[in-house]
Amino acid sequence: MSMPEEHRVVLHLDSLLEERGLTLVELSRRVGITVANLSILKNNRARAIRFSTLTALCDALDCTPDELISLAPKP
Amino acid sequence: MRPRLVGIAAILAQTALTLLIAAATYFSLIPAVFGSGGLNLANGMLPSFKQKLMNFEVDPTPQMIDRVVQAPEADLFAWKQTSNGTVDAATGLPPVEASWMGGWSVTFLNPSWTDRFWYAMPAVASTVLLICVLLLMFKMIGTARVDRFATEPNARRLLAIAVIIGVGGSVCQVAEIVGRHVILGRSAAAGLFEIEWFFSFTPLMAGFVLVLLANLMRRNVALRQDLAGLV
Repeated sequence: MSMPEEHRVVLHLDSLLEERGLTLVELSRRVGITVANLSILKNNRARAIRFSTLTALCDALDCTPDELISLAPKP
Repeated sequence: MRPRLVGIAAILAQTALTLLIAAATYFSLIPAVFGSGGLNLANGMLPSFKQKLMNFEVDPTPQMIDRVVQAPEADLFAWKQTSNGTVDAATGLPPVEASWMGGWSVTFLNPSWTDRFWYAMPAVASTVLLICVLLLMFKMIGTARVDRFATEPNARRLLAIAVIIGVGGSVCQVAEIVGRHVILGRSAAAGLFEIEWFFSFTPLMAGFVLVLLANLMRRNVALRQDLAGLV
């Protein structure tokens, strides 16, 4: 998993999608975010996330923020 | 503005800039370099419509005014024929002609290479700088066609345009003033006329405004980079 150099935040979107049996397209329809932007989140290429986006994802995936986001250990 | 309209506007602007570059080259640069009123590198071979005599506006000194008052009908700068050609009768220098058309001007006939250099170089330099500005603008407008106008390279181009206009424009003005002083000081009209000159701060002010715009564009680029990757 590649991360932008300036942070160690990791999103576990792919594992949560698999657990919930959802596809990226369905999640896009539920949260109102484009598939392209969700793909950016899923591949850890995002540099920042809005609170509104975080809220919508947690509602759609029925999870808490700490289940969705974690901090990778220091190298 | 719709992308297609932006594209059409950019093409029209680039076409206009191309025509301006061609016009500046044909009407200003070529006569200054090759014309008989400039450096005369074509040695008089250019068609006559591109040639003009070396001439600029002057102010009479008190000495000149006295001369005119004392002998109003006399020829101001009489010529004589010598084995080396026509020269000024009083000084033996290349002939000059003074005329009044609402203001005094002096025409320098048969100027030396040094005189041609001082007369033509400010015009050549300012035309070359103008062409550089037009080429930079052409490049910037080309990026608008692919929706990449507010970028770091364009901010650098805008800064370059600002420096060319502000510094280059001012230096060319000073060079023209100095050049005219040199030409007049070496001529048969020296001491009888002085240079009428004026320094405009417009290029510096325009350059300053463009520097501000370039910095604004840089800020725009930095803000967009901050937002890039924000979901």
